[in-house]
Amino acid sequence: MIKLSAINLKSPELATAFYSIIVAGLFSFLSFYDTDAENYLFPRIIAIALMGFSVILLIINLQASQALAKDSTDDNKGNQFFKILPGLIIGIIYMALMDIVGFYTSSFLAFLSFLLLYGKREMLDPKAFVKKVTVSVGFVFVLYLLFWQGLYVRTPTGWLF
Amino acid sequence: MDFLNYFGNVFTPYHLLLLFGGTTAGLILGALPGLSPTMAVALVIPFTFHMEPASGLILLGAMYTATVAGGAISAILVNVPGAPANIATALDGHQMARKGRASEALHYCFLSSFVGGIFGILILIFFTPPLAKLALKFGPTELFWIAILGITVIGTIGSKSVIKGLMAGLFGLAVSTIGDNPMLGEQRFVYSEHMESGIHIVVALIGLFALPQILTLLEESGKSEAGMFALSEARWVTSLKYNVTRIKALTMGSIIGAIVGVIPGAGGQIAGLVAYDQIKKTSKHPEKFGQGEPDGIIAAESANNAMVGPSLVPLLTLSIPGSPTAAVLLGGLLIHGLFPGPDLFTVHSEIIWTFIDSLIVAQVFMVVIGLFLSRHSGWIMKVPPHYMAASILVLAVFGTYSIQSSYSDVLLMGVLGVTMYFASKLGFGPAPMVLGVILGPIAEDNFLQGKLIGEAGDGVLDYFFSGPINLTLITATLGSIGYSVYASHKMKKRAMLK
Repeated sequence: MIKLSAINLKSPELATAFYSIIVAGLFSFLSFYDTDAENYLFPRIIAIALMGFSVILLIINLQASQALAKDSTDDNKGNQFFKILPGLIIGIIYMALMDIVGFYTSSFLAFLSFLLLYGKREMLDPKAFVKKVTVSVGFVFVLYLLFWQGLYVRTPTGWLF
Repeated sequence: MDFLNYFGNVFTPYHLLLLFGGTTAGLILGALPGLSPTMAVALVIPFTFHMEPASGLILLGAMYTATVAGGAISAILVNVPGAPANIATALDGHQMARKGRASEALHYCFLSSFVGGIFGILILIFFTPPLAKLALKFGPTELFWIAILGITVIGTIGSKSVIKGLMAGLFGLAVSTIGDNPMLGEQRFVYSEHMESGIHIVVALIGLFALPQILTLLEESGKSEAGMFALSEARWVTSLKYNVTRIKALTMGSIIGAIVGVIPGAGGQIAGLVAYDQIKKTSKHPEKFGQGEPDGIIAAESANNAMVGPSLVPLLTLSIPGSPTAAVLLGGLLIHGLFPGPDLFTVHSEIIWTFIDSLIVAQVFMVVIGLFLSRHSGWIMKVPPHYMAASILVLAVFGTYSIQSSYSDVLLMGVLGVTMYFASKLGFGPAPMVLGVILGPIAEDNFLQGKLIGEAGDGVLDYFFSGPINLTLITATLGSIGYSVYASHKMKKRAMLK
């Protein structure tokens, strides 16, 4: 029996169950919204199964959350997100630019940005900067030689190649 | 014993050079995320245009063999499987690498790949006619149940929670329905021009595995500048001695790989996973799996490579490719004027037996070069995380774009990857989701075909739930879920008692 007053609403597992229900609900809505039943038959079966499992997960986690006396939220999560944020932004800019400035140029810029923003804080050290530029150029050049020249795999050339 | 007569054709300097080049290139290309065996073989086909048919096929066969094994290198070292077939290898292989046992894990991978590979080719040589008949017994319902079995198997082994694993598999199936309906050709869930072609399986593989790995590496960057993990040197002879004692994992992997390989459409994607699942379920220490258990690598890799030979059985005898790579190989055969079928072994016996013999020699090259690479690939584990993240990002974008020269694929890969990163924080694993995307089209296509046939016959339910193969597969699916729930419950109970 689940006692509502004993449910720990801050439990990450419970949050997972709620997110699952939201995603399953969204997929169910999109599957059943269109009236073309034949076209959406398989997605509808998946949606029903997904919703069923989400409800089971919610029930299991509601029971489990009562057993957890202490809130187990992780304070470190916020720090982790800020740590990956620059990488996410570089990735988005890289994917947006590759079609405009060209694959190899944007790859070099993305590679170098990763090396400059992460790792040791040595941005003002000219020696380290030259090393990072050399590694970035070398990596992209090997890729170019192997695939563009060797295997004739064509990538977007854009403005700069 | 026709095959013995043509070994001499393989041992010419030109063919040995092709085997060496094909195997080395295959191992390297296979290790790059996104460059699946299918793509690697497709890339090499233009180079075979001007070769003699036997020489061209030798090069293609060497590439096929080596890329399947090469995919395990990145699975073990950076937790990004080179191809869907190597998903199971990553589960324990990367854990071993994290514990400083990267070269040992690679030794197990190549040695068991060799054993499985040779077993598969012997099956191809000696059992081609009966296996071709078996392959024909798999109709739409059998293939539908195989796909469902595959998803439940990975759902129950790829995640800590059985229910979350199964849900991840269902999310993958849902993603696979984006794009055209396989029977009606009408579009579904297309809300942008980038989604019109649906989601290619390799795009899903790269997005779901590579991007979360990049973000995890960025989380780790700065923690250890000298190197990610400690490394211990392993001697291949010691690994060989250990490998030889793992008879159960090797046998189970090889037999499962050979059976799955011969089923058209199922491909090698699930061979490794089914073998991994079985060895885990029959192990005395299932709790060690996922923590760096060598048996997991041995079973998965022997299965992956045992699949190679039998996947050619329906191709060579019935023109039905057993795997996506076999479909590309079919193109290689056709451009050289070789039409698969019963005549292939009579009219073109010299070419075809030379090709099959070369696969055995390619296995030898693969294990020798693979062991050499294992000795020198441990340095990858010392590459600082942000360097590794940058390399994986560029390779992932390149690999994704090069599949269909599609910019939309790159964007979809990015969206899938970031979503997977956050989903992994909630306890959902990428492996079941990828398998859902891979097996989704097989499941849906065969479900709709079976439904049509059933409606025209004795009824849909009767068609799907009758026949010995269907019933065996349904029992295996239910058994797999039931056992996993029981095992998970038992482990939780044991943990609570401790």
